[in-house]
Amino acid sequence: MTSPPPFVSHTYLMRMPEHTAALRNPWPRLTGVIDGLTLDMEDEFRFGHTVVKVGPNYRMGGSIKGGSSSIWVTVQEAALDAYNKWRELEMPSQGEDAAAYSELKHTLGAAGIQLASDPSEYEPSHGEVYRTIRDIVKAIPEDHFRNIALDKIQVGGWGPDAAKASAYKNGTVYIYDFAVYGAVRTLAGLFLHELGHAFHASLRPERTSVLQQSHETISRRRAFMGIEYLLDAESRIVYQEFIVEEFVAETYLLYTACGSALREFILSQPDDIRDAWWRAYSIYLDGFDGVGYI
Amino acid sequence: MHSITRQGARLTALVRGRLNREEADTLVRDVENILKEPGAAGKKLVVDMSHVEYLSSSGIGALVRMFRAASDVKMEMIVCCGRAEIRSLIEIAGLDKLIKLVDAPDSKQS
Repeated sequence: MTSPPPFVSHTYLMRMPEHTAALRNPWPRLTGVIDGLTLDMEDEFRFGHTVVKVGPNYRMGGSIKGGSSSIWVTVQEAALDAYNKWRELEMPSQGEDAAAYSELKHTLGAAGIQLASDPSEYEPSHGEVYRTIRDIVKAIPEDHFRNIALDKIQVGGWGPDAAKASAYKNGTVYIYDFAVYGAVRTLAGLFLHELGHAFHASLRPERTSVLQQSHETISRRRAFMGIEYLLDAESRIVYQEFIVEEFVAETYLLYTACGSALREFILSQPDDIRDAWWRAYSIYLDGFDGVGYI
Repeated sequence: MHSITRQGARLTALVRGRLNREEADTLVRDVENILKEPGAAGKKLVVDMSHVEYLSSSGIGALVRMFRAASDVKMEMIVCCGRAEIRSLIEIAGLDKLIKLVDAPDSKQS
């Protein structure tokens, strides 16, 4: 089969912003591009680690709940230079963008969704974070936001119970500091993944049942699509295989950020797996009122 | 650095020092090889991280790969975190949804 079945019929195709659509491709390595950057360092930076100067020494560690509970290891001065160059290319800039914040707040507000930040309502240094989320939100039909179980998006802060990168709970998507101060790619991936949980929460039981049945079939051959953000692609596949809710949320991310790549992936599967995937895909297609993604 | 011991129905991978990319690959390979041996199925795999000084993202990826390998042979996998910082890093990656975490290797849950 070289094309989707008749019940997979898009009314039209939209496009996610470039930084988000790039999730379909392997995460390009900067090791070898940035002087002094090693694969180990790059992996840690991708996982939210920073390099700081403490007195005469340099330390690398993770920004977990403000950093006080992180593991810090001693590194050379060159690591700080490498980190600064890496963050220029991968992380949101720390500049202000009040217009992006206002536009995001207005766009979400029109769909009845509150935008909140912690600790302050508007955080000046989050300009590019607001811009990134705004661009993703603008690439999603407003009606879709009205139909999913989403009341509020919180940008910044940490969860009350445990260190998390992001979360969805009781109608709120939380984008914690780990994601805010990480790579743009990770921010985009986590945001759409959490929207996927809000989508899941809005589904009628018969639709959830279709997704569960599809998951069962797909699991038999581990025919999941994995993309790199936060951790490697293989880890994202394992999450999907063992937790159906993660499969539903991750498929939302794949549907929106990687539309054509997801369809190509589905078409490459054997008959039974392909059928299961298309049944799952059709649930998302309905949820987007026929809108698909390039 | 790591060692793997068997005690009854329990297989324990004791990890020490820094779990970086190179060590993570070796650990996963050794665990996978042991899990392929006859009689491994149905046992419990305990990954004791209580002596780990630094857990890299490669180390977290190694936990995912070991979990997958253990599941293939119907083994339950438990991670003893030791330090709160180790647990936080694992939770950041969302691994607490997949793998049972305990604080100490002699915990009743492990």
